[in-house]
Amino acid sequence: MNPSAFTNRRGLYAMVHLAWWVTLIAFVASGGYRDFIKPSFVGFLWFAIVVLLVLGVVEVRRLGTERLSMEDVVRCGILLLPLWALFLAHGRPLNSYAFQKRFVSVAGNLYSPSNRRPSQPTPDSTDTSSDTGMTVGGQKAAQATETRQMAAADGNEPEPSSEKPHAGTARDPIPLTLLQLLQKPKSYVGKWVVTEGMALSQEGAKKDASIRSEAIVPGTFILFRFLIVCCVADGQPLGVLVKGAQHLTVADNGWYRVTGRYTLDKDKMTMLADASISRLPTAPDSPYLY
Amino acid sequence: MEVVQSRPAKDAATFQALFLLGVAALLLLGSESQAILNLATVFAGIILEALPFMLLGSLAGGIIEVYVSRERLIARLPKKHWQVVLAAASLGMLCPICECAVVPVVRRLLRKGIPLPAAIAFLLGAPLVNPVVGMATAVAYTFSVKVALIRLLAGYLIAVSAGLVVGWIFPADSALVQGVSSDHEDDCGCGHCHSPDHHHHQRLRLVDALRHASGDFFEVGHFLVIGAFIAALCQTLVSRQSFLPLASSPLLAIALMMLLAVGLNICSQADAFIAASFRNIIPFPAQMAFMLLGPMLDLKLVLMFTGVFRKKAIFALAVTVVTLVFLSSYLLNRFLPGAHP
Repeated sequence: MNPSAFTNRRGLYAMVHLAWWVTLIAFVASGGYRDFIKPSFVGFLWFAIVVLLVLGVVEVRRLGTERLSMEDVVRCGILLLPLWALFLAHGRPLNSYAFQKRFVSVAGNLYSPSNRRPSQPTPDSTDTSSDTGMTVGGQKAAQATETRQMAAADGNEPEPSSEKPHAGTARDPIPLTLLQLLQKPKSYVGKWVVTEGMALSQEGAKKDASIRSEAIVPGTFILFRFLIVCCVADGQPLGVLVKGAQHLTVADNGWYRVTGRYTLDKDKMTMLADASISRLPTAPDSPYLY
Repeated sequence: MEVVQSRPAKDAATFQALFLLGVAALLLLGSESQAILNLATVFAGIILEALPFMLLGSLAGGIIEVYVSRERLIARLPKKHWQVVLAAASLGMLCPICECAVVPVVRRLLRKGIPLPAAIAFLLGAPLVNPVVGMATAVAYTFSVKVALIRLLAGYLIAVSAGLVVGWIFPADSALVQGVSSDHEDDCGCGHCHSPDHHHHQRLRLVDALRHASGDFFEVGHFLVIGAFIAALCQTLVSRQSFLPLASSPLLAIALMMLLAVGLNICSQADAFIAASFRNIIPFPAQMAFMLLGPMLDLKLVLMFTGVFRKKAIFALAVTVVTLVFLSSYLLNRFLPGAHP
């Protein structure tokens, strides 16, 4: 590129377009965009890639017409900041820090929905909380996710096989995502399930006042994931308590596969009991559920 | 010729320079901090989601600038302002557009002479009163058509009312920043005349439209980045749990959810799912307040508005919208059966 382009407003604009264009291509090609937005949004990114290329070419055609000001430099610098953030956060999806900030429990008690205020119906009174599962935050596992459940395969965990049903025993646990588990908890009560997620240890949970429960004792941990509609900004935490026959030790933010017996006691405490765990060497391709 | 900057313009430039340096230092020094990484993830996520729509809005703005004649547009508008406002607030039903895309479009429409009340009604109404948002809301509330209708109807009425109120407070172009006012239509800085008579070749007109689109991207895009960063900061620092003890009173809950809507900056297609996740925790009118205010007034939008409106107009718009949303949620709380326990 002509060196004078660096002192030309249009040249700088063209370089900003180019930087964005190259970054988007790299993130789409590598699948890295899935750390930030829903995979089905990739079409929008392709659209952005095409538009940025066209706009960049248009700016190059205008080189040499306008001098650069400090305001232009600052403006372009601001527009490049998200690229820095993209590379910094790449491969580091939302973790236990975000889980604790976004987690909502009622009356300060993580697992005692019975302590909650009475159910507050919408005008349709369609509340069905007694039939649906609770997230670790005492929320329902998003009744509204029926349609999204169809796309749950975006998470790369195994789906329940339609050909050969799993027995739900210790030897033949049912593979589920946390979303599937929490959407229809009564279907799985007493059965053995296997699921994957990030871990938040008892020690880690104690650091944040958001999560308070007598149920989280040493040797237990919270297995969690985020449910995303569009991007990480709307990610909602889903999680269950994991309790082993023996003391379980996990690393915060590590990925684990957990096999355990699903229990939902009188307080609708969601837990995987008698659990065995194995650490996953890498995070799933899609760290979130959709 | 040397351009002399006004005091507000200098202040804005200083703020932007400080913002750039501050964020760069934060990302550089805190790259191993969990909080900073979370901040970077959310910041990048918001931008990645919004960018295509921002570009779409810029393209639409460029096309409007070059292909839409001001005279023809004005001639086709209803003669009475209130009729234009009513129509503008419902335009989203025909062309669903999100809040990130609507700002560049409104900027160009104002330059073409669309009355301010109608522009504001479109600005507030389009991201909320559209079929995509209606469908998302219904799905989020277990396929409740009633909730979706309440949201769309309340959103429409608020958009119309806010347009009329702000238009009444600010006559003509006094609410607009320099360059957006329709008086400046022939002085957009692109160096080309936009009279349709001067565009003999369609190709040249298309290039002009793209130039304007690129200009809009830079004019409004950096505000989007600043707003997205502040939103990410809120998401990173504020614990949602800390809101709950204050949500025992229905009115306080409405106010808190409005605060949350402004701070979280969640896309209008997704915010209903967040609101629905509060179903057993806070009253329905407070959830509705969250869904009504977010698409109309959040941090990133306020920043983007500064590329279109003067500060006093943004303040008046914000106060009007907040008041109307609070009022409608209060009325919902007061009169709608089943809206609270």
